[in-house]
Amino acid sequence: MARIVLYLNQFFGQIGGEDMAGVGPRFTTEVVGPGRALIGLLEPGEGLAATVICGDNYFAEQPEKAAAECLGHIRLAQPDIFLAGPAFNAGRYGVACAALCKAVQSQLGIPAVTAMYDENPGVDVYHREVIILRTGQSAAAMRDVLDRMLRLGRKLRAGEPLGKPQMEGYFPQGRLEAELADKPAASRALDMLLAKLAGQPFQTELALPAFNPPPPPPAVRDLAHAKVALVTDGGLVPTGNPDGIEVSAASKFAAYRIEDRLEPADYDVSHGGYDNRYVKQDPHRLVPLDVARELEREGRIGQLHDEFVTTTGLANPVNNSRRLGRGIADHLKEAGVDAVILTST
Amino acid sequence: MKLTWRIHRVQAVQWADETRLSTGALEVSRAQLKGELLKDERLTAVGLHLASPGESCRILPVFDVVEPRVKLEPAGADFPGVLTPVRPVGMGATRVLRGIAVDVLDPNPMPNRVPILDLRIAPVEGAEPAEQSRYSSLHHLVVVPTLNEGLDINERRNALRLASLRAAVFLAQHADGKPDEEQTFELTPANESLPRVAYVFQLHSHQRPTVPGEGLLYGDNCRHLLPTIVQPNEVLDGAVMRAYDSMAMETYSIQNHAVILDLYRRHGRDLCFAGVVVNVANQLPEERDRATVVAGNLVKYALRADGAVFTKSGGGAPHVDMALAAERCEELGVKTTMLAWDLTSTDDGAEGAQLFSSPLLDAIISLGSNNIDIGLPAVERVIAPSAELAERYQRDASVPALRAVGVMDHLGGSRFTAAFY
Repeated sequence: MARIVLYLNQFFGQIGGEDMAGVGPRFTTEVVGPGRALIGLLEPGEGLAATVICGDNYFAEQPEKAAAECLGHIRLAQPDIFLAGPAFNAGRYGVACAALCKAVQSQLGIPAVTAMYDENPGVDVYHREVIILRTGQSAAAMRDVLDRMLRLGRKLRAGEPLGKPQMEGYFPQGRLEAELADKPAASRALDMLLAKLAGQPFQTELALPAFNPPPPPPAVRDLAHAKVALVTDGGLVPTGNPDGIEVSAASKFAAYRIEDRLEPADYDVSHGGYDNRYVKQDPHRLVPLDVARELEREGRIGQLHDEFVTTTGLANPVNNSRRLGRGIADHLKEAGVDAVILTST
Repeated sequence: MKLTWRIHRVQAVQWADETRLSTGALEVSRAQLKGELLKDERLTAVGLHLASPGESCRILPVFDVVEPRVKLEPAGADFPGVLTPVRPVGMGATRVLRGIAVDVLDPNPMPNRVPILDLRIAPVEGAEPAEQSRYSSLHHLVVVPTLNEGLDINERRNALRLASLRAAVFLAQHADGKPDEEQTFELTPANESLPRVAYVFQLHSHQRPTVPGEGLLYGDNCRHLLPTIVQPNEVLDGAVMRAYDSMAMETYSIQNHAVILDLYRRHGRDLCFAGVVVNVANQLPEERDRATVVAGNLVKYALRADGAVFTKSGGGAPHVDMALAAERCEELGVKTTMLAWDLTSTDDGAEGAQLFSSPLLDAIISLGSNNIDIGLPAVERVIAPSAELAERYQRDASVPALRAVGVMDHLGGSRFTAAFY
C-alpha cells in the first residue's frame, strides 16, 4: 500500500477564502477539494491517507512554526509519497508547498512533489531543492496536474531517475550536466529541421527564456520633486571591485556612494561583454552622474539619490535578472527613491 | 561542380629516411619535413613528435589540427589565397590521408588559454574517448615550431598557420599510390518534392577582428563580408580557413564539415541540399542589420530554401548574429535550426542563459557549455613546447570544455552536449 498525503491551503481545503487564511494546520482523513480528483487517479494499492490543510497567512507569517506543525501531522499519516498543491499562481501557497516538500524530503526521507506557475515565488526560492512541476495559471487543469505530480511521485518512490526537466515538465534544478548524444550535433540539427519541415513534433535542446515584456510603470508626474537614482547593468565598480560583482551573469548588485564626479582612477568595469575602454576613460559615459547633477542644480529633478546601483547583466538568466531587479527595486524603495535612470551597454 | 576525395587510410605512422605511404603505414622523414617547414624563415627550429590513438598522452597548446590533404587535379591549389595563389577549388581530385592529423603547437600561448588535445579524454562518464573527440582516434604528427624573436603576434600566428598547412600538404603529397576508397561530392538534381535545405555558415566572429594576412575565404580576411553564396565543395576543399584563434573550429573540422557532409549524405534522399551561405558576426549594429537582410534574401530567394541550418563561431556575441539571420529566415517562411551553446556562467542558471529570445527560434541543438569542466586524468606523456608546460599539465587537470580540443565543435561534428537537471 502506497500512502499518499496531500497538502492544501485553506481555500483548496474548503475551509474558506482569504478571511480564513489565518487558520493553523489541521489534519483530515476526509477527501476534500483536489483530493477528489486525486483519488480518481490512484492505482490499485495506492490510497490517500490524509490531507493536511493550513491557512496561507498562518504559514507565511510563521513559516518555521507552521512547517513544524504541518510536519507533525504529515509524519503521523506515515506517507510514502507527499504531494503539495498544485499552487498555480498563488504566491503564499506556492512558497508553503515548496517549503513543506523540502522539509518532508529532508526530515522524513520520502519523495515530495509540488506544482506551480513559473512566476510563483515558490519556484524562485525552492527550485534547486524541490521537484516543482510547471503549471499554467489556471486551476482548470487541476486533474491533469495532479496526474503528473502523481506520476513523478511514483517514479521518485521507485528510485527511478527522472528524465530531462523539459520532458518531465519540472523546473530545472540548476545542475548543468555533460552528456553524450546518440548522434553528432549536425545530424541532430538535420533530423530536427526535417521534422519541423514535415510538421512533426520536435523538442528543442536549448529552450529560450520566455518572458513577457514588463508593462511600463505610470509616468513620474512631477520630476522636479522626485528623488531619482542612477542604476546600471554595465558593471561599473569601485577600483578593486570590493563586492566581487561577477564579469558575467552577476549574482548580486551593489550600491556605492556618489558625490559630484566619477574619477576614472576610482572606478573599474566588471563586465566581459563589451569594449570597456570608453567607460574606463570616463565613467560618466555609463553612469551619467555629471548630467544628473546638472539636472538637479537646474531643479529639473528634485534630488539625486546619493548612491548608484550597479550589477552586470551579461548573459544573465531571466530568473536571476528578475531576482536582482526585485532586490534593486526594494533597496531603492526603502531609500525613498521615486524614479530611476537605467543605463545599459 | 564535382569533387573526388581519394582517401588513403593511415593505420600507422613511423619515422623513416623517406616520406611515403607503404601499405597503410605512413613513413615520415623528419629531415624532409623539417626542411619543408624551415623554408619559412620565421621558424628557427622545428620539433617533431608522434602520438597514437588512445595513448596516455596530452598535446598542448594546440594552435590548429589539420588533416593531411593535397590537391591533385588541379595541382597547386592547396588552401588557395593562403598557402598558394588564389585558384578555384571544389572540383577535380584531392588526396586525403584519413586517420592522421597534423597538430601545430603554439610556443607562446596566452596564459589560461591553453588548448589541450588529450588522446584519452572522456568528459562524459562511461563513454569511450573516441566517442567524445574525433581526435582521440587519430594518429598525430605534432609540430613544435620555435619562432624568431621579434615577430609580432600576427606574424607569429601567421607562421604557425602556414606551418600547419605546409606540413599537412607535404605529408599528403608524398603519400602516393592507389587510394583505399573514393568519395565524390556533387549536387546532382534531386527529386523536386524533397524539401530544399540551405546551410548558413558563420565563418568568424569579429569580436576579435581579423588582421591583414589572416585570410578566411580564398585568402580574404572577410573584415566586411556581406553574406555570399559558396558551393559546399569549396568549403570542403580548402577555400575556407578558420581565424587564427578560432575556438571549437579547427581546420580539420572545416575539412570534414559535419553539417555539409550530412547534407550531402541526405541529398536526394531526405532533402535537396540547396547550397551554402557564408557570413561573419559583425561588430556594428548596422553591419549586423545589413547582413541579416542579405542572408535572409539569399537563403529564401537565391537558394529557394524551405529550411536552413545555422552555425556560429567565436564566443557569446555571435549567437546574436546567427539568431537574427535565422529569425529573418523564419519571417520569410524558411524553417530553421541552429547549433548553439549554453551561455550560463553562474550556478544559478536554472534555465540556462542565451543572448537572444524569439518565439520563432524554437529548434536549437545544444553543443554543450563551456561552464562544464572536463576532468583530465594524469597522463604518461605530454607533448608541449616547454618542459615547464609539460610538467604543469602532466598531472590531473580540469579545464573548461572549450579548452579540451575536439570536445566542442561549432560545426556539429561532436556528440558532446549538456542539459539542465
